[in-house]
Amino acid sequence: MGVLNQAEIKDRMKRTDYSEKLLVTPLLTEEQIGPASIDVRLGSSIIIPMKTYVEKQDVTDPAMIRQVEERLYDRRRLKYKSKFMLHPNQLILAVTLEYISLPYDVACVIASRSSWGRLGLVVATASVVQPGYKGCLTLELANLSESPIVLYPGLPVGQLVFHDVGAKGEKASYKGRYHCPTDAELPKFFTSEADEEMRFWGGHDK
Amino acid sequence: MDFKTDERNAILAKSLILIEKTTSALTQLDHWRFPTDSSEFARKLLVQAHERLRNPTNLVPVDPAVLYNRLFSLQELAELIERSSTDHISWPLVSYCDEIWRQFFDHEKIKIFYSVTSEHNYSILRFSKLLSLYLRDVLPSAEISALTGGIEVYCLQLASSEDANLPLYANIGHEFGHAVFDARSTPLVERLNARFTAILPLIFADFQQMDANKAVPRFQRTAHVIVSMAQELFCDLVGTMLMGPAFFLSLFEIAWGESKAVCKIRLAPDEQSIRAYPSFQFRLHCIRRWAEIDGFCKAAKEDFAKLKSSLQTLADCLATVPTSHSDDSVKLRPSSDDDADAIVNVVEKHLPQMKQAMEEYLEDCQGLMMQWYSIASPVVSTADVGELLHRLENSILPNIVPTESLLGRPATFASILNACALYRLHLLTTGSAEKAKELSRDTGIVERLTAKAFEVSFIQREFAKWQGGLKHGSSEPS
Repeated sequence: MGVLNQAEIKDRMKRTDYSEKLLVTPLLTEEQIGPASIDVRLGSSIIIPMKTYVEKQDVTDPAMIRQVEERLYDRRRLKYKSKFMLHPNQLILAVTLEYISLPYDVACVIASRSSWGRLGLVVATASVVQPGYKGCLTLELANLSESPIVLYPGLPVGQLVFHDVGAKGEKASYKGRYHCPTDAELPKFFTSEADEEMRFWGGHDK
Repeated sequence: MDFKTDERNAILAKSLILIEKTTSALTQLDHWRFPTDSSEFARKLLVQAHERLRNPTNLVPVDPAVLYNRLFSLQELAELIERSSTDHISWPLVSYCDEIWRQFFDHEKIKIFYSVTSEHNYSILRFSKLLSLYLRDVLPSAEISALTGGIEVYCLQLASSEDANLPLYANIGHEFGHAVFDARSTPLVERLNARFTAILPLIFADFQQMDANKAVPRFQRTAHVIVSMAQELFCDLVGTMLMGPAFFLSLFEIAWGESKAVCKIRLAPDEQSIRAYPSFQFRLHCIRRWAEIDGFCKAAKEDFAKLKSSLQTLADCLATVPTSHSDDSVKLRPSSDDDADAIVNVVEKHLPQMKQAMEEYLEDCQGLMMQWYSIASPVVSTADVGELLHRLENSILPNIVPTESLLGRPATFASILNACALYRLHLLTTGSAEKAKELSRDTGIVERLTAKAFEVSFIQREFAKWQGGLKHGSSEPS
């Protein structure tokens, strides 16, 4: 198990069988593929959490989490070449311009690009993508700096680092909650049986 | 106060309040949310119109009640602009629409903006013409002309929640056909007359035989029926030329559950408002020929060979769409119209010859269109569609046609549309009704992938143009 280097990334991308092919599309230039990563860009779909209407986020309460999803978020679609200001301490959900498809033996990690990181922009906090995943990636963009950061769709803000998970012969398919998403996605609590235990921890088990 | 004399003043006051309210609402609209710049142009036009109406000295002497009614009509135009928002309209889709529009029109002189309608289908309307109409007899005609400055503005109304309206996308081509017909109406109507020279005297003779006194108005109304039918077919031709087999599929789907063998006529006291639609099966028959569906199906057998077997048979499925139109009948509304029976009888009697003449006329139109505009023919390649279908069957974004390069070749709007329309048809025809949840998930995926593919292929092409410009020493896209 190791990080894929540029040659290995390209080799995986050239395969024609989609179950083995590593796919990141669109690639606008081949220079997006670095020595051990691929740069990804900001897409147009964003979700802006609003402070109004919701008193708290308690994910152990299924009734409340629906309310939070409906009342907390404002979905927007940015036009290209139009700016968005991310204010200090603001968190938004955004999406990658790229759609990715991971083969059954490759996982990936999404990270900020260092220059943006130095400005105070964090692009992802839930950063591991499982083998077999297909879809765009939701980014959690946060501004940790003291001044607003101007963002435009298309800017390369993140990078994907790929790991060979060594699953030789085991064609495990992705069984997560997100099916080929193309927009920024809200959290999906209580869409999996595994979440039922959260009722227990929150005391909502009666 | 005497309401016998002061009512006019009260209505005028009410009108002025409405003008203020509408002006204020229009001024506050945020242009940031408009999907394209043309919405802002339409907004400014309407604001200027209201600013002129604000000052009673600008108004021509008019009954205040007429003014008040016109203001309500103007509010409908304001609502079109209010509904022109990226909240409901996908900007990549309309950016492609703008590209298509520019194939036909100089965007500086004839503009289009996009709005949303609660209707289930798309429609196009002449925004600036309606504005002029509503201002007629309220503002002096010179002021109305100065206001629009000779620039024509259209509004394409997209069906609401259009992200999920993939089957309707191809109809945009049909709607644009109406604008092309408006712009080229003189040569197009001349050609129509030429193709109908043999039939029109027969129609007139039949009306004379029925009732000589009513023959002329009935004939005139029937002539409008013929023009309206021809216009619909012309729009189908434009839709086919722009969208290819996807337009065929789209119309076929719209016809599901409808009477496909009925030619519909809607009479109106005003002849310009008469509308007529050929039967779905005749329209599909024409489109099948124009889109060369049979040739597409033949080529697809080879180009779809690497797809799973159920997708390979899609081409055969296309070939089975019924297009025989020999049993067409005519229905007219309102049936209470004095001329209804006479027009139905005459149109039904001459329908076979009329359809023959229409087909010949549209062949002429096809030639004219190729002469007037540079439209790719054929609009899609089956090889490209096959590659995109292969991506879709693997839940991969259908945005590029793979090439030797890792970047691939950005797929065209028509290729994406055709592949997605075919894939959706495949899901609908092979999905099990008992598994509605899975079917809904799968069609949802194809709709999302289509919308995203439009977005990224557009960006890819714009970026490539900009890069091409850089290589040639310019920082602007070439």
